[in-house]
Amino acid sequence: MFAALLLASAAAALVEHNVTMRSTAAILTYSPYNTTADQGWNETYTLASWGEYNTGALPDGDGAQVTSFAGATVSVSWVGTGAYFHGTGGAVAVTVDGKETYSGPMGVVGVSNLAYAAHNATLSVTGGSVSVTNVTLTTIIGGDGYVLERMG
Amino acid sequence: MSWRGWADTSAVDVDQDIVSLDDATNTNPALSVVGRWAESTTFCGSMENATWSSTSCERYSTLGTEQPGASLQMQVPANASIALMSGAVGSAHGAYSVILDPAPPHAPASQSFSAQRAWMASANLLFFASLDPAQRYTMRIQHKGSSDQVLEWGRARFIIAQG
Repeated sequence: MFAALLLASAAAALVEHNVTMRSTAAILTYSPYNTTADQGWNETYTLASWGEYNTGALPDGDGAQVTSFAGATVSVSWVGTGAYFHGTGGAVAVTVDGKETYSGPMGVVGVSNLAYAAHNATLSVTGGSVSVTNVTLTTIIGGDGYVLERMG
Repeated sequence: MSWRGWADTSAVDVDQDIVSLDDATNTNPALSVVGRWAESTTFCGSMENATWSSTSCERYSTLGTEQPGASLQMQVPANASIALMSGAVGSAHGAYSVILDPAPPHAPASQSFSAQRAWMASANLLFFASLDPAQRYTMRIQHKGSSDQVLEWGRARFIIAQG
């Protein structure tokens, strides 16, 4: 009973922290990448043009990775408790640690309440044109050590 | 070394500011510098841009290198739960590694990434790690690309739980 109370206290005291990144973050892996949208992920900005790209201008507007290539994926590996892909468009599937956790329209899709551990989350395009604008990773303040300390 | 931070009863962010490298010695007391790095306060859409243009450049401070193997190492502050690094990505940017010593929970000591993206863009996330706040770490970022690619590091940020 006392041990259970300690566990409950530790669980209630855990603080989750979210880190949201742009779709161009280097820790995200896109495949296929840097192609036309019908062949893989294409990096776009709402106020930038191909002409500006060729003249070396910095892109204006909001960035996104866009594709209509079925089977295109974006993945992230992290230590934490949750991950969400943000975007719009067609149909996607989300796989976490090899298991499908979501299948349906693109939006804010992902998973939460995972055990604090190493995970991999992959979003796959299954139909239509999909745009990814941001990714949010969740982990806990304190990590394993914080939990163990409260249990001790 | 100067730290910017603010007191809070919960988690705080501590940014490690970019501090200039001494031109003569290429050193900085806050960073362990290996190889040749250059400080820049402007970021442009092309590595070939020689002059400032409001459409092609923006104000953004980085330490950059084109030397394979060059690295920057810093001490992670005490009680840090999360380590983040940001910098530039783009068509001229290449592979890099981030090494934490000791290895963080549930992750290897060294992780590799690529900063190559179609468009040049500043302030993108280069690294994310969950840390054991009871452990002290050193964190090092190293250029692993070719000599015609660049690594541009902007800043490190550490999430520290208080109380």
